[in-house]
Amino acid sequence: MRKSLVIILSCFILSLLPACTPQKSIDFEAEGFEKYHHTDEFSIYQKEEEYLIEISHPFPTATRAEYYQLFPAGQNATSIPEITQQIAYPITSMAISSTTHYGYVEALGLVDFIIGASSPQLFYSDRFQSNLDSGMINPIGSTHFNKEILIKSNVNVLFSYALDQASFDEIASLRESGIKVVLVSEFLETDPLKKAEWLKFFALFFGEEKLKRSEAYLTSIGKQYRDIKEAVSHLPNKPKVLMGYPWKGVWHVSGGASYQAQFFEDAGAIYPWAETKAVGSLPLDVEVVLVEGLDCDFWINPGNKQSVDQITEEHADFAQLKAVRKQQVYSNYARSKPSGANDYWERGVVRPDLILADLVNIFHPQLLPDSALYFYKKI
Amino acid sequence: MYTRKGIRILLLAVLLFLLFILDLLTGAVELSIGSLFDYLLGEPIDQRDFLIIHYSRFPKAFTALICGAALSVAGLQMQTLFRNPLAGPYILGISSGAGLGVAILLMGAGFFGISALYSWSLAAAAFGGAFVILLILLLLSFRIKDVMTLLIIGIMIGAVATAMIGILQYFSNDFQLKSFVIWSLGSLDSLSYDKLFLMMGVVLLACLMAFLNSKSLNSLLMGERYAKSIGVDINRIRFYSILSTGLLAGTVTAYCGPIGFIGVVVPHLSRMIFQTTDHSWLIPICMISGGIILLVADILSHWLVEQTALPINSITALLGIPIIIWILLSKKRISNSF
Amino acid sequence: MLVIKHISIRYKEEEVVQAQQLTLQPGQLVALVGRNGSGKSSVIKGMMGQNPFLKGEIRIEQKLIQDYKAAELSGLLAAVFTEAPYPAIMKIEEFVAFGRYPFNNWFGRLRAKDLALIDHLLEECQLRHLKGKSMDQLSDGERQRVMIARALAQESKVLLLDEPSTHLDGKNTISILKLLRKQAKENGKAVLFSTHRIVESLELADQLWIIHRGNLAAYTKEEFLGDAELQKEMLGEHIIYQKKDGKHGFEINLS
Repeated sequence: MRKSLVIILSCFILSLLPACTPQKSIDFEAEGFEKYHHTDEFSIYQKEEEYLIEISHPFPTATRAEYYQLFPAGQNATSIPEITQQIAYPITSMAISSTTHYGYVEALGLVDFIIGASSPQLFYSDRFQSNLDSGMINPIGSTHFNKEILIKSNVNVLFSYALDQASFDEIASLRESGIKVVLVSEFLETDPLKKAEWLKFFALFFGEEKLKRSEAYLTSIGKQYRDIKEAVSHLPNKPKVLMGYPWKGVWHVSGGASYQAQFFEDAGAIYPWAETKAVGSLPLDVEVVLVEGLDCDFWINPGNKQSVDQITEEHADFAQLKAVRKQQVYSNYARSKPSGANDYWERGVVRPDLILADLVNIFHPQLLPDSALYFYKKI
Repeated sequence: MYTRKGIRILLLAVLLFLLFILDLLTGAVELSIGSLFDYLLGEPIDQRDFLIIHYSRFPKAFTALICGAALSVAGLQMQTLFRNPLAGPYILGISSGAGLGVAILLMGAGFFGISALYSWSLAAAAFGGAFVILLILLLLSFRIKDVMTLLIIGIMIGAVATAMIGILQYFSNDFQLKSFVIWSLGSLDSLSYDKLFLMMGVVLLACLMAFLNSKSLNSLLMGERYAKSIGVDINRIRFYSILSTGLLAGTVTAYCGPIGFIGVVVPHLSRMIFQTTDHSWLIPICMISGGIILLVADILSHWLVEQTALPINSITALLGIPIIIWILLSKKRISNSF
Repeated sequence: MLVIKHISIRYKEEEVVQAQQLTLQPGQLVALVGRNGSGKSSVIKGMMGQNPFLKGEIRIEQKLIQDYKAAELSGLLAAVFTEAPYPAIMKIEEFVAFGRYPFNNWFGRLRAKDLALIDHLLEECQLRHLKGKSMDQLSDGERQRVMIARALAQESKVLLLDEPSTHLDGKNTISILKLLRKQAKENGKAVLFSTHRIVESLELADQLWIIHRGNLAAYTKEEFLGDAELQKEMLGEHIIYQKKDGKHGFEINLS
């Protein structure tokens, strides 16, 4: 009996060995590629008309990158073994799995290339909804992708994201059946401007012209963002800002290294958790948050609450918070629908300047007297 | 007597085959019987139909077959070992162990600050968790005299694993939670062929192990004391039936998440329909019946709602509960059911 | 052939049974007698090698019982217990066939020889008319006989029974004891059964092994009947052995 146990144990350990092989990374120079652009999460390398995209983290805890090779349709692509997906550009159709993807695609004017989407009811854009109604866009599955519908639709590329090993395994299974899947990890960017730069990523799939267009777009957005940030940096007073909403005794707030914290900093506000290192959210005890929140001048993004009354009904003690007393509670659901669709997550990704302007309008109303709130509203 | 059993098994096998074909035809996309036969005969068919059959339908149907067989044989052994009609493949906490492995992988990254190894599949984490529990149980099985004590310890270990999962869940965010919940609803989809072959290999091995132990398993029906008095090595049969169950339940859970009810219901059904307690018959019968039931569940899961598949665990529960009640009502004393 | 030497068994928190030297011979029917709770079951389990609390030596055919492999032992020693789980839907002849397990192959296949033996045993135990019925269709007495038939199917040299008459009425008890006696006398088995019903045992058993104040010793019928003190202890005050006019019997004194 001990013998069979030893055999099984060794089989088990042996089966894990393949998992431990280190990944070989691509020697771009040797292959003749030059670095074209990069953010924290993706890099573009170019060799004549071929492009290589490196995705550093296909899913948040991944330790290996993925590589997509884009080559002009009708030509041959250089053969490089570590490439994850080879895709000819311009692509002919796409399916998306997040509203943020739509934000990028819409900014490029390529909405009609979308033939499939996950959870279509979450999309704010009227153009999207009308394409959905006319049957141009098909639902491709929400909790799981519907492999069969994707195969049947003949979609050229599926833009998806993976949050963990489980969803990554699903992507692997889709790829095995011949569907080209590209992973988008814009949500891992901690800088709002870098997040917007994923516009180039999407543009690349449609050719040079779109790439140039995206660069012009980004230059303009970038400038507007930096101008506002510059103006704010001279202001002496920085108000304190609280964010989030508790759920069952746990209050998640964005970490100090998150893009939300970056927004607060760029908008000239003091964020109590700015010094923390977390890139994601921090699960804190409600009391800990309230201690900081008591004297916060503003309260941003109180979950999905639509009015201060809703808040005080649930938590009578929150009426004590300075932001509540001074009626300075703002939600980013100004452009939203009852289904849960929220333009903040669509257009917002490519218009960080609008978000920044909103926040500055809230924190320092005197600075931009002519503009109105876009994504945010007072509740 | 033998021919009657033989005919019934043949009928069962035919039913299995028919359901397999039916399952191949069920799915989100319309598939014609013509296309299916072309595929089976090696004739050329539409590229998309090929992809759908080859990468979606066949893996799904095979998975249902293998998992159904595995869970039923595992449940049978547990019912015999503990002489408990409510025992099933998960009673010793093996699936809780698998769940803990998965929970650590999906939700523990934040809690423990570990990064997942890229190629560690979910299955490895699940099987690792199940294996740890299995190891503990096997080592204990040598030391513990009374098999009921072993049962209770197994249940307690499972409860500890579940409690730890609860803690991880509490500290995870929406996405992680949802991911774990979805995993625990079970899914027969999306297994690649190499995973499928590995699963089939392990399951066949473990079922063979059980089959070769038929005599000892039969003797356990008289209770361990009598079994010992006719020469059965109790430690050995405990070891191998727990090992076999661990391999079966662990593998199924690793690749498909926990799938409930099948392991408890199918052995009872098999005993009832074939009126036998002889494991050398019951094991093959359970394998076929298990495949049948899970294929039915899979067909229903795709059929009940247009275009989507309902989670397999809900269907097995909806199927299993009426069957259990029917069995309970038609038997005189469930405690002595076998 | 089954020899007990200097044993002591701890069977409850503080209780111990001791014995010096006892031998169970082939062809003998022995009644293990004692009050309820005196440790009879523990002694029998000890004699089977299944009692971890036994200190001392128990040998079968000169070899210590621990030194036997379970498979070997099953050919020498068979047992019948009081509580016995049984599969409800199993036919009685299949249950009796369990007794052949030590002798058939890994698959449990029954040869013609085995089937003939099973038939014969069913006949012996008056179960012939029940063949084909399932275990849950039997009365307690019938089921007890099936258990015995199963033990007999092992064709062992020693047969141990723990309280075989517990759930049975007088008539059934006697018929089972007669069966056991026949096994001892005609088939040369060494048979031991435990009981707290002393009166029936006196007539049918060759020896009485009595547990008395923690001590287990062997008595013949005459020795027992001659020891008034012991009788009073074992039978209580109300049952008195009388010898009158050459006849002997028990009288119940209700005063």
